Amino acid sequence: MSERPTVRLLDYGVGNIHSLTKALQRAGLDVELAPATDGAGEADGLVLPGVGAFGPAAQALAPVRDEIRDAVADGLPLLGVCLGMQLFAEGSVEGEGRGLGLVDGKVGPLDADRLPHIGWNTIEHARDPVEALDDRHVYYVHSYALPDNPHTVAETTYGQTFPAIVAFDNVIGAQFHPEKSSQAGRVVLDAYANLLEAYR
Amino acid sequence: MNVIPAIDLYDGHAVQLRGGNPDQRIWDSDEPVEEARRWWELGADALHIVDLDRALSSGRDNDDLVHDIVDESPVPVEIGGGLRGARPIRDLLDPHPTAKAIVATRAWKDRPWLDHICEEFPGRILVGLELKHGTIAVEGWTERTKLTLEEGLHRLDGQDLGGVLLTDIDREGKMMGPNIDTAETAVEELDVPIIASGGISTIEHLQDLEAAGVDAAVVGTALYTGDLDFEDAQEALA
Repeated sequence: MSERPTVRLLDYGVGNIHSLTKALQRAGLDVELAPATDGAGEADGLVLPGVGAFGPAAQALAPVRDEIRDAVADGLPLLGVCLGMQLFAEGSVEGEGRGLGLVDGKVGPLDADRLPHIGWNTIEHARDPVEALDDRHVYYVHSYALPDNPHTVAETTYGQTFPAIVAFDNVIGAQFHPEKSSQAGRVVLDAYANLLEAYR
Repeated sequence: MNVIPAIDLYDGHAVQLRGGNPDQRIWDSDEPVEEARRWWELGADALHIVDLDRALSSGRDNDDLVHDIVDESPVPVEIGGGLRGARPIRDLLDPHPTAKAIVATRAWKDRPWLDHICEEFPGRILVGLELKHGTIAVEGWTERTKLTLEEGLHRLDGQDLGGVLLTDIDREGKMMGPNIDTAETAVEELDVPIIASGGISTIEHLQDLEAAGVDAAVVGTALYTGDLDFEDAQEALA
């Protein structure tokens, strides 16, 4: 408990990761930034941020995909945000390349009249470890979502119901942006911080 | 990043004013609901409505028009201008579950009130942070506080806000371009969406804001003068 855990935030080379970095720091974590191609590294945890498109991100991760999978299987706490959570799947309709294959199936487009799904929406059916989020509003920017899967611990509806949060073993992911969702976002970051303690 | 068209209401009209002066109208329409519809039909994901009568304490308000627009809008609407009490905020937010209220003056002058209204409407209050010569201005920009940007952001840290609406008053309505440094600071300091407004008039301005991590940009004047084409702007952004 004495030292702040350090997490590695992988940069796929597109988009802005400042606000996620700051939010992780506010949740009590030290953050080291690394190019995606550097892989899991030696940090206490790994974070896949939510910027860019599936294809280029999967391509950036391809050389280190197996290394990350092995590290996660060995207990490395993993947080995925938005696209970062979609990378848990086997692949995506959005672009070529393999995801980490931690969640079965492929990421698909939301079945909604208007895309992207952008702005605040409600969390439904929230359960452990994020039951505090039930009925809370969180901030979304996305057009794709994970398929239905048994690791879903919270959902949101926009055109269709989709997984808002998945959590299993040492892995947690959010389709929304915790770093933009104020106090509700902190619930997810705190759950991740708890994983870092539990798997230390 | 989201481009949010601004609809400023004054005496039943949708207007664009130069420097916030009702006597200097850059653009004027007596069909505000039609103007709003035009934006969501072009694909706007949100609308930004300011009641200038309330903001300027003219003795009038445009509440009926605001309700008409929000009732019809298929996209979320953020509403501001002179909102200083809990009652007008409840009147706006209770009937419209996706609407948000923008508060500025009272948010900076009365901290317990801000705490209370954020608790009542978690995630649905946007705080207007309006910078004039480096400090936060209130009372329709006529009065400056001693709060710097950093002090203001620090004060908002931990509030359950729907976002912060960052306006550089020195640039508003003058199409001078946004202040990227202040936007970057806000993005880094707060875990809520940062919405930039004031002086945004080119696709390059929008791209600079997007690169700074800003979540949405409110554009008024440039969309109405035709300096910025809404669909071109949407296309140029990720």
